Amino acid sequence: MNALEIKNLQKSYGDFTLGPLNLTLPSGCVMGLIGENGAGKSTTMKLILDMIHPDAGSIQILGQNNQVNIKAIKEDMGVMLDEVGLPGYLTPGQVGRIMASAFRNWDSEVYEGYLRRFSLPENKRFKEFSRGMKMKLGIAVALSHHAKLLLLDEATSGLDPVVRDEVVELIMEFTRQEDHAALISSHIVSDLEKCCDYIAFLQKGKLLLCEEKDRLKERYGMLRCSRERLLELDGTAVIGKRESPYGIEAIVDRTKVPAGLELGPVDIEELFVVMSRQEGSA
Amino acid sequence: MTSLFLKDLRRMVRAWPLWLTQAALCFALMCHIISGFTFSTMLYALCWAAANLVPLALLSEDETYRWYSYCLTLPCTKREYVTGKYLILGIMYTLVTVEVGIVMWFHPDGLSAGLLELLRILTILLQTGAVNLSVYFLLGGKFSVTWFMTLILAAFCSTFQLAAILQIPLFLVSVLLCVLSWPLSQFWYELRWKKGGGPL
Repeated sequence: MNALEIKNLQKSYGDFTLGPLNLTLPSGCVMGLIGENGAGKSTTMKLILDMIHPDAGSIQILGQNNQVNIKAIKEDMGVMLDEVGLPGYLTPGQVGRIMASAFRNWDSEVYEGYLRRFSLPENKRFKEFSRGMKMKLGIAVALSHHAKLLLLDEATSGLDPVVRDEVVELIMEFTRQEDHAALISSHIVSDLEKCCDYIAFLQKGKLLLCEEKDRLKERYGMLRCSRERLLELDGTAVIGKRESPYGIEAIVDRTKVPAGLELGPVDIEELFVVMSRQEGSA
Repeated sequence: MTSLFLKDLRRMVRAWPLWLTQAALCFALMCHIISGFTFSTMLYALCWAAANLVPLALLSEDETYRWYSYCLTLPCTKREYVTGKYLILGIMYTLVTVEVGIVMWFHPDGLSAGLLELLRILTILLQTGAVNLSVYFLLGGKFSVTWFMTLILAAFCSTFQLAAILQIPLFLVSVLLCVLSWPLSQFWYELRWKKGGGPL
């Protein structure tokens, strides 16, 4: 079963238009939604959560239409937005009691386990927490009701590398179970590269690509050569390039370049930057 | 729904200085009434402020902490969020009714005069509450502070006799207004989400 299916989703605000967006996230997988600020990542998350309504298209979450019974669907979803909007006067202990009345499957033992694991003091007020601690509490809440789908919107932005690594580790731990899936939006591509099976690029509301991470790496390669050598290649093979006094670094489609050409591996961040620039200048 | 209500209730309990102030004012009023009751718009303004300030404060805080957005990641709907604030308003009205009811017990013109006074206050509360909560959901907590302060000033400065406009049917109309403002608030709240992707 697919954890998430987005079909022809469209939403317009003033001069910004998202979509048409088509995404499928199979159960047991992690998808990274990559895009610059304002690309439409948070809008997509809000549409999934039915905070805002689409102009067109549909969203199926765990086999159910999100417009029909989002309340029941949210019982199986763990969500963390870019900011954990818990009232500052609450302590983690009080948050736990409030959440116990929000979720049918709330597991206090699991929650307390996370509090201990993250060294979060049960009686300290939320407003006195550092950003890292706030995010950890948000994750503890998102993971303590046996959710099947995890939605994280910019969950690692503004965190130090150690905490970011902890968050990535948690996501990987969560998706070890076959019926669990996660959709993570971020502009910190390196974090997504560590834990994602699928990568989707959003640019100005349009989906540039959505593919398996390993396939992307197989399909594209980094060519380091001179300008003259690059001009000899088929123009459609070059996805993007960066010039320097030492030559050219170009990301090319391996299927469209002559066999035997020496290509280095490309990382997702480079691919994202190059594709975004290319699309921006088009 | 329960979680939203619990969170607001917890906040209300934490605001004990507000309750203490209200109790002190109530005691002062009682002394004033015993020594010779005179109808005063001040009394209406005081009750009105006590009842309406709490939902406004809660909405402002929700915006500050971004709870309005976070709560929608929980199994809660926008409709429940709006309803939660009406429940809080209902609790406040009940508290004010009880407080004012105790004060009116000592009305120098007898219990029936006191009850009539209580009815007047409830009418004002329901009417203003119906308008206010809808305005809060239309403008948001922060902008509503200006609205609230303007109304407070107007109430304190007003010289018209509220007693003149009170009749039993008007009380029933006020109840109806309050009930109607609930779907209106939901509509306006939803509209704000539609326009900007969030209430801010």
